[in-house]
Amino acid sequence: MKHWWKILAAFLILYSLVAGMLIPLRSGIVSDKSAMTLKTAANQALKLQFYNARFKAEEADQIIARIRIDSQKAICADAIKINSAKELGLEFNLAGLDIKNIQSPFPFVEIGSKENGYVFSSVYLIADSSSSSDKPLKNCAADFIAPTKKVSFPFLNILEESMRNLFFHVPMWFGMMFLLLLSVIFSIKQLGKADSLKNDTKAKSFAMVGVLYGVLGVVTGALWAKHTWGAYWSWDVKQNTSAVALLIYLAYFVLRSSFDDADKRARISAAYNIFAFATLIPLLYIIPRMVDSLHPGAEGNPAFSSYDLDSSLRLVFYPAVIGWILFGIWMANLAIRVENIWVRKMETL
Amino acid sequence: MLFTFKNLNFATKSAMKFIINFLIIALISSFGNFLQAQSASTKTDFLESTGKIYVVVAVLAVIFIGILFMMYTIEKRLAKIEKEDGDI
Repeated sequence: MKHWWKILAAFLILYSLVAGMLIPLRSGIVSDKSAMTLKTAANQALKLQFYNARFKAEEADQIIARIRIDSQKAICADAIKINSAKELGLEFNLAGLDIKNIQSPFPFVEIGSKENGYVFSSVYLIADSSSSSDKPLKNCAADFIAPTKKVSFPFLNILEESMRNLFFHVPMWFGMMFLLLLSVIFSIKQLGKADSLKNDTKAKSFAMVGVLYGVLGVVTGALWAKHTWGAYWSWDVKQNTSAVALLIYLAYFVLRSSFDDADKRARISAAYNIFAFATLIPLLYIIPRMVDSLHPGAEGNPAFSSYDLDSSLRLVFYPAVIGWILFGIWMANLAIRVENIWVRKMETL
Repeated sequence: MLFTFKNLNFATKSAMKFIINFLIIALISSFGNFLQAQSASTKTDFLESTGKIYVVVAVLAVIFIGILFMMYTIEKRLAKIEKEDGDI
């Protein structure tokens, strides 16, 4: 099978499309901050709006709901009411709770149910000294709520379902890097063996698909940013450096088109390609790590934070990366073959 | 151009090109207006309805356009080769 890798590319991309679009998100709490603010007094009502939840009225007594104060202590809800499939009404007695010693990420409310698994979200407590604590706090045994066993993607506020872009936007950048690396390798080969234009053609075609991936990465990133950061272009460091990197590579094609002599073009553009790749490393891998950014992954990897990358996301993300890389090589391969015929034709004329 | 008009004279060709370009631009901009109108009337953006899943759909559409562009560039080179073959 000569074409196994093309079949693999198609299969992996198809898999990332199907699994990436069909695996459901976990339940999440979408109530806004004001709804999540409680006073340290008796009879505090907390109305929780859920995304992707299906609460059934008959399982009200099986739901665990509590506000966690630290890793040992939690305050259980006095009453749990299922308002609808996506809304829970909780009531807490928080009178006399000392909130001075609560440290981040506490306090948060955690809900455990058979159907919807484990859901948590921060709550905001305001000290209310006027309330007296005649009733002791209802301290639950802090037993562990098992997360759901179903394969599902994590729910993150603001991102919501657009989290699935991880399988389409990020592989563009991984693919771009890989294809541009191939391109620069062929450019170096071209400089070493200048009697044939074969390596020059390869370098050009891989750079073309690589830049296409880069442009798609910027455009899809801007589209995603519009609906999560609020604007297409926020002059964020990662947006800026990737745009600069792409402009440098666009200049590579401008440079190529400015030569009539093929040998001269091959030599000079190969040298330029090496420099372009050398500037790509600081632009995409060093500067973004030094500056604050809206983009996930400020703490190391420029693409995403390893903290956010759930094992269920990896299950789809890595196959998608491999699939898009192979697909890019396939596209470049077509361009190389057509270009080779063209070069041969020009030489015989 | 994607389309070739073999049996037409130059003026008709350029007029057709203009019309097709105009239609493409009009289509794109009206689609933008459609989205704008949606966001104005329903307060929340259409793309952000249903947990922002349509952002993913839009991203997939953009990637598809990118692949189309790649096909177009390869086809352009192929058409050149075909033309050379025809001349010889």
